[in-house]
Order: sequence, then structure tokens, then C-alpha cells
Amino acid sequence: MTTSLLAKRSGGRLALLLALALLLIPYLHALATGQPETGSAGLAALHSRAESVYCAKGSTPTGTILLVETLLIAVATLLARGWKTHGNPLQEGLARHGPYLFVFLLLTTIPFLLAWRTGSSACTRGKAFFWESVFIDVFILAILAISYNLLFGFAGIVSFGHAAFFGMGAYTVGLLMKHLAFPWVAAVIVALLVGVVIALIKGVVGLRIRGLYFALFTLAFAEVFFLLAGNRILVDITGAEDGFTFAVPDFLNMTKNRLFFYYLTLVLMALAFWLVRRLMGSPTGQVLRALRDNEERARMLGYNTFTFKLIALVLAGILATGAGVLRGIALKGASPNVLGVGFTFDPLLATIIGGIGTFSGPVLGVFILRLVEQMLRDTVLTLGSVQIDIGERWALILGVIFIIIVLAFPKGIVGTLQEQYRRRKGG
Amino acid sequence: MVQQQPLLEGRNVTKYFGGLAAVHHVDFAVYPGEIVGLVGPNGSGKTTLFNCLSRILPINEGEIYFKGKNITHAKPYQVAHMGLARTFQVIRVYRKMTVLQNMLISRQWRGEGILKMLRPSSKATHERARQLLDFLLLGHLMHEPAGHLSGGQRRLLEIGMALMPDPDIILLDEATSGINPTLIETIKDRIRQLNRQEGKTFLLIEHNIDFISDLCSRVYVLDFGEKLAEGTPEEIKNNPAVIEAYFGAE
Repeated sequence: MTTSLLAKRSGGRLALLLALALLLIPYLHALATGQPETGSAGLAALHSRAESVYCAKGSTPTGTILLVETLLIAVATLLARGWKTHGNPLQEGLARHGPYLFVFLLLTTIPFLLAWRTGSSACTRGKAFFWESVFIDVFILAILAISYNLLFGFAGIVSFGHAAFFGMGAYTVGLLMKHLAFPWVAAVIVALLVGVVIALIKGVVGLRIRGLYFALFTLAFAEVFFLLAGNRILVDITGAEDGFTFAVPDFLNMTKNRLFFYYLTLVLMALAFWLVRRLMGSPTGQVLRALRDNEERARMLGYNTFTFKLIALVLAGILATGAGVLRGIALKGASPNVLGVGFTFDPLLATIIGGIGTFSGPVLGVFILRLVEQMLRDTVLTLGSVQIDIGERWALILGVIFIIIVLAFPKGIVGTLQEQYRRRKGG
Repeated sequence: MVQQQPLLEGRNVTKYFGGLAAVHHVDFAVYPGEIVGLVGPNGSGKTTLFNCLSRILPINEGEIYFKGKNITHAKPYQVAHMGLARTFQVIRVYRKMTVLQNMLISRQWRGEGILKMLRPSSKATHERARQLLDFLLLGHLMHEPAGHLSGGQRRLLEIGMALMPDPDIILLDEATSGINPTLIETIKDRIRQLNRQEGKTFLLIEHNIDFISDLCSRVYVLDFGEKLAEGTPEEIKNNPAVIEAYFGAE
């Protein structure tokens, strides 16, 4: 009975079901063992029961369960990969998707690991609370990098103006909620539509020129928004160079509901990752790769390459705008720097470090970029009696680390490792 | 031969690169079901003419007709959709993709909706790709990256890619260059089969005179961008002007 049920499901779907089950277990456990806040009723009481368990300081049962699950998945994945049976969908699903499942579960565990190691709570001010915000920043930037990689790594379109999407996402959602009292859903939808419009304008006008010229066109295009946002003419609306702040609903408020926001951004990052993987595995994705490698040939195969580039640009635009929307909501405000070149070059750098045209490379790149930066910022090296404050020179040291990475991994970390693996496998 | 409407026809086709006339006032016609050769010394404008016909290069003068329609200003993907396929002199398979992926990507997209393009290729497309690969003796290499194939196998793959969308005419640019004699025989045999059994029309650029003599019913000779001669392979071999163009005057 169970085997026939299993056989009906593909490996990928089983892996997804498994992930959902694994995530529900710790929450259900917290619900069953917690004590509700006095005076709360209904759903709020139910939720506060769970909160009383996973918001405790130090080690929590929730964290322990998640950690055990993470380790179990790691072991199960290794076993599934080693076993050479065929036709078992659960085993195939684990072998293929296990590593991603493992990373996802590890990331869901991190707030509790931090709480345990620092003796703080995952939900209230403290060290774990602070590091969660660093990770939220990483997840948002990872979406931006995934979007950048779709364009640059897979479709071969170099853009120096990705910040236009990112910044306009943050600005649009904020301005609509602040000045026009849009509900958050409407504001998010309109912001994403603005992203589509920007992509269409860039595509229809810009994609007729190629390579570096297109890159420069996008750079100029993004600078227009940057200058406009910082201009005093619009000071009453945008706050000019100071930017502006706006109110967000409580459940989206990162200061009040950080753990929720952490999981929200994590899930959205996973979704963006899955979307791009799915796209690149489809015939459309193959055409994008083909026109990157040889556009003329793709045209002769009967593809209107312009249409396909436009599709890539629009999808990347939506993802990058979405990342910007999250950033605006996370900071409850926006300032011209979200439209600046920094938010073009960070994803570019992350993509190069992680591996151009690999799926996990850009995400890994962002993690390295941001986490190393954060760690360097408050490190003081003590050598005997000499104290060196690395925090002051973090940018310099980060630069040296990048140069070493690029020299050691010419195709990015993931790209180079993949190549070595393939070479070893090929003999 | 009954004179019917040409499948592919060029009238007064002229292409300049700066001051140089790479193709100069060339008239030609290919009829349905024919195998026509295009020969000439290096630099005589054969590949340029191919590029003009497949609409990769714009032409300066003249007109090109395909299936009776004027395609002088059509885009490459449009003529591909109409049923014109070509291969390239410098092999252009996608080296990082597998042989099968190269074939699958060559089934054209005719604007049937982007959602459909997000789904995996249909079973029928897979089946066609497999059949063609078997036909071209590449079936066992289906899952190898195309970059691992030998030069000859890549030529065969190129031909397979051109055949994938079931075109009416196939333009082969030096299908035999750099290929061992056994494989040349295979290619020759496959072209003949496709021509006789499926009625495919071919236009071949070739240096291999035996290949041309065995396959083609008619041959055009280009020299310095101009049409030097046309006729059966026998006539061409004995044409003094052609001999002079190839070997120089005595």
C-alpha cells in the first residue's frame, strides 16, 4: 500500500513533503508543551504557547529537534547517494534534493543555534536577535544575486544597473504605503509591476545593443533613478538624500517579529532559488544557455533570441524588485543608496566568487561576502602586547580574501569544485 | 526535368564588404527534391552566399525567394520557421550540452506560448531526437557532452540539429571537411536516403569533388564572388574556365 502510494509521487515532491513535515514537527512539539500567556485567547493563545517554548533563552527543545532533523537528513542523504538501487522515489528524491534540504534545515536551525551558543533568546533583543538580522540581510541579497546570476550567468547579459530594480522595489512599496496608504499586498504587487515595466523599457530599448554597451546603458539608466531619488526637487515625497521611513503592519515588522521575518525571507530565497533552477531545467532555460554560448546559432535554429532575452530580463527584474521590496519592508524605509552602484556590484561580486552560471554559487557568494564582513567588523586581533583592530580595516582584508578566492577558484568556488568533481569522475 | 517553381531562388544577389564584392550579381535556383552543389576556390563567396540566404547577412542588391515568398528582408528565425535549416563550416554545436540536449533545443519554438516552454520537451520530440541520433550513428553518445565528440561526430550532430525541425531545405556548409573517409561515406549515404525517402532538398558547399559528383544533379561554381559556371558535375569537371579557376592557367 505505502509503496504504491510512494511510487505515484516523484522524488522532488516527496522531498518537498518531507521538508514540510520536518518543519512542522518542532512547532507542533512547542504547541503541545508550551504554556500560554495569561489573558490571551483563541489563536493568539495557541501561538503564545508555542512561543513560550522556542523563545526561551539558551537551548530550546525546538532547536534540539531541528538540529537532530538536520543531522538525520545529512546522514539519510549520504546513504541515499551511496546506495545504488533504482526506482525508489524517496531514495532518488533524497539523493537529488537532499543537499538542498540539508542546507535549508540548517538555516532554519540557525536562530536557535545562535540562541543556544550566546544564551540569548531567538525572539527578543540580544546576540541571536542581532545575528538574525544579519542573516535576513544575507537572504535578501541572495535573492538579488540569484536574479543577477539568471541574467549574467545563464543568459549572458551583463547589467551594471541591477540596483534600479532593487531600489525601485524598496522605494515603490514604501512610497505607496506612506503617501497613498496602500495596504501592503497592493503595494507589493504594484512594486513588482514597476519592476516589470523597468525590465520592459530596458529590454525594448537596450537589448538591441550588446555586451558592454548594454551594461553601460543599464548603468546610466540606474543612475537616473539614483539621482532622482536624491534630488531636492522631490524632497517632500522621497526625503531626498536622507530617504524616508514608513510604517509596516506588525507581523511584517522586523523589530517586533524578527523570527517570523527571518523565516519569511528564508522561504522566499528558497523559492527564488527553486524558480531559477526550474526555469533553467526547462526548454526555455536551454535556449537561454544556447544564446549565451552562441546567439547566431540559436537564431538559425529558429529562435527569436530577443524575446528570450526579454523573458530573462523580466524574470530577473521581478526577482530583484522583490528583493528590494523585502529590503524596504525590513528597514521600514528607503534611501538613495539602495539605488546606488553598490547594490549592482555586490551581487556581481557574489556571483563571481561563488561561480558564474552555477545555481548555488551566487548564494554562497553572498553568504561569504556578508558574513565575513560582519565577523571582520568587530574583530580585534591580539598578538602578544600588540592589539590590531581589524574592524577598522575590514574592507582591506576582505579585498585580500577576495583576491585569494579568485586566484584559488578561477571559476568561482562552486564552479571550480564542480569542474574538479567532474574531471575526477571522468577519470 | 519539369520546370516547376524553385524552392529557393536568388536573383541578382549581391553582397559588398566595404568595396569588395563578396557575392556579385549571382542568380541561382534550387528546385524541390534536388541536391545541388556549390563549389569554388577558397574566398570565392560560397559561405557568404549561405549567410545571405539564411539571412544572417543583409544583402546590398537583389532578391531572395523561398517557397515563392520574398525573404530578402526576413529575419533568420523567420526563414528557419519557414523550413530552411543550415549547418556551419566552423562547427557550432553547444559543447557544454549533451548530444541529446543539442537535439532537443533544435526543435524550434514557433511561439506556442511561454508556459509550454517551461514544461519539459514532449515525448514526441524526445522520440524524434532519438530516432535521428540512431540514424546518424550517434545514439550511443546521447548523454555525452557534445564537446567530447570527435570532429566527424560533431558534423553529424550538426546535421541532426538541422534535421530536427523537419525542414524542407538543408544548407550544408562543408559537411565533409576534416572527416575520415568512412564517415564521409556515412554522411553521403544519409543525405541520399533523406533525399530519396523524405524528399529533402539539399544545397551543399563542398571541396570534395567525388562527394559532389556522387550526390549532386547540378552544380554552381563561384569564383571571386561571381557565378563562373553551372551544369552537371561532368560538365563542370570538363569546363576550361573552372579548371583555370582551380588550377590556374597553363
